[in-house]
Amino acid sequence: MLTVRDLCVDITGSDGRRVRVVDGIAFTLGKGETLGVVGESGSGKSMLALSIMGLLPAVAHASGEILLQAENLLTLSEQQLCGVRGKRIGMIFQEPMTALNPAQRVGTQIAEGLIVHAGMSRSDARARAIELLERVHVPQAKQRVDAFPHELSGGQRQRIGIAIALALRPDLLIADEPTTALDVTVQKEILDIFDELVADLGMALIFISHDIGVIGRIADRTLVMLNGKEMEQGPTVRVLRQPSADYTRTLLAAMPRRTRGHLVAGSLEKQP
Amino acid sequence: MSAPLLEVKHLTRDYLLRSRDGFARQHLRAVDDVSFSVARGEVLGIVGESGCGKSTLARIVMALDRPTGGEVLLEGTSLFQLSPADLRRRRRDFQMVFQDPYGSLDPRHSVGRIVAEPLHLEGRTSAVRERVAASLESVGLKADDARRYPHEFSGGQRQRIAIARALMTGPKLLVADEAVSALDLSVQAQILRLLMELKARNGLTMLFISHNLGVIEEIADRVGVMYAGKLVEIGATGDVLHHPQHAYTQRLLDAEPTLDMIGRRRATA
Repeated sequence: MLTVRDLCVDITGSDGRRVRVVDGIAFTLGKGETLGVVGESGSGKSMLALSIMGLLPAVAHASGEILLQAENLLTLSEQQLCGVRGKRIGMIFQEPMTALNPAQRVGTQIAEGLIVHAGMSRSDARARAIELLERVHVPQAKQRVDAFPHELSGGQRQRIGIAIALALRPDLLIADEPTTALDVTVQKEILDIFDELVADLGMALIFISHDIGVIGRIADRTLVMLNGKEMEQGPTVRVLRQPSADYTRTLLAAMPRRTRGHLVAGSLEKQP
Repeated sequence: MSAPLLEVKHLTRDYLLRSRDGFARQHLRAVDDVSFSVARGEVLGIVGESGCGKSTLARIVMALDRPTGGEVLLEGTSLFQLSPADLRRRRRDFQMVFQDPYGSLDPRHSVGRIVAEPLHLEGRTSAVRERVAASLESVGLKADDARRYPHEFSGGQRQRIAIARALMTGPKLLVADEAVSALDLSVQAQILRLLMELKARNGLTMLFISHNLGVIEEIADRVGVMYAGKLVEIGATGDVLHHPQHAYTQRLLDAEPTLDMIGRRRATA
């Protein structure tokens, strides 16, 4: 469904120097699959997400191919991209408070895409917004649809962010550190919601995180990035249990023992 | 057994919440009858989620905030019964490292000035330059770094600067509030290693606050679990993490993703 080939992103600094922040990334992603992208700050993982969404800052330039059902997104005009964002690709950000409009009721924000893109009437869009809130397990959805973001907890806000991304039933969801700002017990609930979306709705998911524990929990395949480059990619179980790149091993070794679980250096080789 | 370095007794902190009209008042009990003690050379971890009161606890232990009830004893002296001048003199004995390595260092000051700052608590100051150099070297930085400014350093290096500053007065107690939470994994591991070295080398006593159980397990001898202002469980780190007594501790342990769970997800879904 999504094929990325030799994606490079260059950023031109104010002094005219170019820095390559994404360097030759390639992967494919099918329906109902989750790709985890893991890396530390500055690894280029967010730039990768933004380039797929066509949301790169003006100083950045992407080259290569991003094929969404055989259509190269990098060749589309801004106007054409507007038809892709939201409708075919939904995005979820890290900080639900800054990603939401503080002055608008959450129902209005969910309904916006439905009215603009899908041509729904206000009342239909509102009914659909309530369904979406139920889909992401917001309790008392009928009341919460009229709440403002500041009246909700961080976990509830992130559910709103997911509901907005889901509204137009995109084929692909891109989530950039969606649980990083949340408590672990809330994170668990949000990860369960992502699982349901992938399993029940057959969405494809790109899940970006610095947290290997979370990636291990959610991703079918994992791409490890450092300085814009792919260190390795493969099925998550293989990448985490039998890493082929030294950098993956370094990352795993840096994890607190508890999170690393039974993955100790010695047992890495013993696995079949 | 020697007397504990830090004792916290029946500590309570209420905040007054005002409703929108400004009249109806409600108390929020951020810290609710919390008691524990920390022995010399021990690291006590405090774990809990947002809003559980762990940072309020840290602020009160640092005497940056006053409790509504209860007391904090450092080597048997109650901090809140000291005169302001005496409290100021005692501050050299307890220092703090904060979460945000970007917000906690003044960007306009040189690293040397930042690290030397706690020295004013000592009154007389001599050999400042040498002591700053020694402190920077003790956290793995160079003496020359004193001339540079915070923006020239990475997040991990800045946290080293913050630790160097905290150690400047030779404190007996270090309070670390989410001190490694903003750091990348590999940097986090380095800073934890540094803190453990300092503990071994200087016999530092620490109150180490974190939401991250994995980090707590690495560094803490004992751990206390906070939930809704209460200390619901406290004990040796291994006991609490492997045989939790309280339902909330169990919930916290279950929620944390670990690599034992790879690939298990849709089997259970």
